[in-house]
Amino acid sequence: MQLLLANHVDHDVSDPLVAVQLEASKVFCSVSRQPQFAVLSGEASRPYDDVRVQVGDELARQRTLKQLLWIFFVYAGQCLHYAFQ
Amino acid sequence: MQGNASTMRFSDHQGVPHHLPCSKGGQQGDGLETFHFAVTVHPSIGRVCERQLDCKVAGIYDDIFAIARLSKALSCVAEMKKILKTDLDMDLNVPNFNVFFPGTSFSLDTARSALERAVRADPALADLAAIGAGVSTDGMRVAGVPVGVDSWVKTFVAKKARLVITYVAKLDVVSDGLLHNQLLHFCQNARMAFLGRNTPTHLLSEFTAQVDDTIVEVRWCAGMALEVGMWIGLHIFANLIT
Repeated sequence: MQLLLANHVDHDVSDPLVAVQLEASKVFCSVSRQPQFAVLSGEASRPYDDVRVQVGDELARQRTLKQLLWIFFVYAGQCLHYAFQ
Repeated sequence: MQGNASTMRFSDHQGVPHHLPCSKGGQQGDGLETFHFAVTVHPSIGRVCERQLDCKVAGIYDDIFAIARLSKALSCVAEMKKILKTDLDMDLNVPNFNVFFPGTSFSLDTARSALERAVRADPALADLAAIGAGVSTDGMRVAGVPVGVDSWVKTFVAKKARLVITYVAKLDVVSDGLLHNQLLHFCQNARMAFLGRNTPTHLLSEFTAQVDDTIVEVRWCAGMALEVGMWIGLHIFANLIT
């Protein structure tokens, strides 16, 4: 974020650079379970993205999981650390 | 699944399994749930980003940021709000959005009116009509880290340091030395350590020193109490054997 915002030197006053922070309410307990299973299985079980993704379409599971895999390993490492401490 | 509620298997504190019909939310208390959530949300956000190439989006779990020119950022946010609702039934709370104008000479009022103008100018942004409560020209908090002008960051860190010092004092009631040490090390010390890793040193060194002094003082007192206790114990033991 700091790096992204560092490039604000040539700002245009009529359309300035901004950072918008989105606020989602109660996300962990409100997110639908069906997309969770769809992402894990790698296949859409209902239409998504304004029907641009149809039932049966492949979801970008591999790419998503690979990008987030390091979080899993960090978490697993922390769990092991506390378990054997 | 296929649109119906799934059955969640839940084991209670006595190990008894319960089967709960469930269509929303993750498993409470599951440490991997945040990871699961991120994996689920990522494709929907990613598809919006593929269409909004002028906008850079960064996020950690439910903290999502869109960085771009005002008009592009608002367009991206409006589309994301719509897609997250239809795909995941996730509600974005527009009145609580924060809009940060970095490095501009805008006053708060000018920034707010620029935002209102931009929302009014594009009919596709009607969903964002309630935006504007959290306009800032000084800085914003990103995943617990202050980003902005130096004075704002310093005020943020000072406030956080005062809070940690208050909490350190409250830990005095914990009589178990090991537990007290762990609470200091893993809870209170970790807060400033996290800020220290992500904030320029010259902006927080003075406040970190205050917190360090408080923690060292508390640990020194605890150490002294232990030393005195051992000394008295040894003295009594020596008296007993002589």
